[in-house]
Amino acid sequence: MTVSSTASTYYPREIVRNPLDSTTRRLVRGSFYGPRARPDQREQEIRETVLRKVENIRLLRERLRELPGRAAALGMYDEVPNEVAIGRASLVLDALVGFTLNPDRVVASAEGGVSVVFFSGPRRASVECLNSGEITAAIVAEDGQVTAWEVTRRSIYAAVDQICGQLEQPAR
Amino acid sequence: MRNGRPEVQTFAAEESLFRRCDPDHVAPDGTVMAEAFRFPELSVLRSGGQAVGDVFEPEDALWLPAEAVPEGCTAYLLNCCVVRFSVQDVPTEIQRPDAAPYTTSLIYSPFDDLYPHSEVHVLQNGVVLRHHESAIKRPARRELREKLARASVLVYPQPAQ
Repeated sequence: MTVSSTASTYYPREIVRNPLDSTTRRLVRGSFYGPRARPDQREQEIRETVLRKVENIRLLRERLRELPGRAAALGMYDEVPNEVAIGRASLVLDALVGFTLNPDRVVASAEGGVSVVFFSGPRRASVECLNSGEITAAIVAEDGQVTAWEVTRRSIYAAVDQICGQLEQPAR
Repeated sequence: MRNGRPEVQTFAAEESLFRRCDPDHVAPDGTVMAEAFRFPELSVLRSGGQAVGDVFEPEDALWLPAEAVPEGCTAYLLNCCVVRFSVQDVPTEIQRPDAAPYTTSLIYSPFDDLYPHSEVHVLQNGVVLRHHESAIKRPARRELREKLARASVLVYPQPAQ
């Protein structure tokens, strides 16, 4: 009999397909390197993680709504963020609910639009939603190497997944 | 004020360039974000020096030229920050798999009331790309901005020691 060594051999399909990212999945099933936590302890950890995430996203949404007024008051922007940019940035925040990585801030962009920004030590990433409806994502590695790509409304979740995967990797 | 002074188009590699930005674009650890930069015509102020015949300060970047404000008014953006990078930090070329290489060019374009004003232009096949054209692909523009952000430091207000 041939034994396959793919992940699906060891974990039920629904867990492999779980949309939560690696850290949350570890909380659910226990770490490879450590003993599984007691069920009630795991549930508590998950509950706290999710509550923190939801609160952070709520605060960022409030901040997002304030950005056009704030940018106009500052007087330095050629283009203040519009409804299109804010709508796209809301979709990015929606997508982030399924990941443990927290965005650090939302800011207006000099290019006209808003950005959801992440910092992780010397690495940074952001998803920039422009007033024109265009979306770009970029990851800057610790050595300064830049990976930038275009994102569509349909690929927001994939972009967030890629950013979380890169920023959650241990530093080299 | 310019007062009839000449346009000195040469830039020393170590000459500083100042760019005004939103305080939100500077992280608490001093990291400058790419969101502070706008291409393809990036507006900056040069620091000047012997060749230019004058030296300019980071705070000068907080002045808006008269053409950007209502007649009879002057505008000094009190609540903004200023970041600095040097001429040699401007990437000379950006290579993308989906387009011909982009190059950059630093142009000294003084206003009558803002003498140190300069611009970083982006060119493709020798043609300057302007704002109204979408010829510069967004990821290339993003890469350029990220590289400049990485080279930039906050100079106004002075970061706390």
